[in-house]
Amino acid sequence: MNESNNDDLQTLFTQLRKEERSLAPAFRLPTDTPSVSAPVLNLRWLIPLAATCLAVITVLYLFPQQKSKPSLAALPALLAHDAAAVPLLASLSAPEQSLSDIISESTTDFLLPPYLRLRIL
Amino acid sequence: MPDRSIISQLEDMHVDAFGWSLHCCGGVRELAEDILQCAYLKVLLQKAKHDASSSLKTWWFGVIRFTASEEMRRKRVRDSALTRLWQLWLPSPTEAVDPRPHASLQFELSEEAQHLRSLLAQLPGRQSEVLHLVFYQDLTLADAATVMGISLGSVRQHYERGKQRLRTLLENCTCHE
Repeated sequence: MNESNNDDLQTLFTQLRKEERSLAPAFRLPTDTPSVSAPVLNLRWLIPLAATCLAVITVLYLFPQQKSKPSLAALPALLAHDAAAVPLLASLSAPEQSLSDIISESTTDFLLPPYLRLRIL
Repeated sequence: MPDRSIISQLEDMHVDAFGWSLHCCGGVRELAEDILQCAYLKVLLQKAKHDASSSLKTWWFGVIRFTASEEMRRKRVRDSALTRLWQLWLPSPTEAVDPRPHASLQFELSEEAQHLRSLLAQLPGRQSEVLHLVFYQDLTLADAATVMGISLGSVRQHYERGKQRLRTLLENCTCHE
């Protein structure tokens, strides 16, 4: 692939390769030495992970599920029968008393407060 | 566990693979070793499986390239300001556990080799990759296209432009000297 007019570049790269080859480490598969980076990563991400979980829980707690639509069945009854039905103006059906009866029964005039004593002649 | 023959072939390609890994991570030796180990782990755990659609070398270089891009992305996240702040109160236990001496970040290369590496770093990523694969690894343009996961036409374009740009950079450096 390399053409003859690239000899200048080829020479430079060959020199670089030669020097870097001499400094390359020995071949060693990762299983030969225990890795020290794994626990570091765990610890490094543990606290952000915990903080994220805490934030999610807080959000879920503060903003629970959406409010459900109120249904008619859930509302309390508007008119409840809490006592037996009574006619509203039952007293009107009784016979009317005369004014003189009312006055004679009362110690005072029923139209006036008790500290004013008047007598109708 | 993958086939024993594949392991032995990977062992034969180890030095070339290291050179490619080194290129993919911008010449940082420690990172290149980590990337290569992660790539080996993928093969051992059979997360990366070779099929007959490509040669073992192009497949293996593709795995390394993908692993390097993953690791570089992780490294960027690790180096972000947020992570640095995080590590102020959660120091990395690697420093306490790992008994190896702290490796130097850059290679001890000759001046010429370092110069070439710095010029390659100035090229766009794909141009730099295709030049490495062709001139350093002696792959064909078709193989380089397979490794990089792009079409042969695109690789050819990157190859020509990369050569042109690298020569320009070399000439400029010579003129300045």
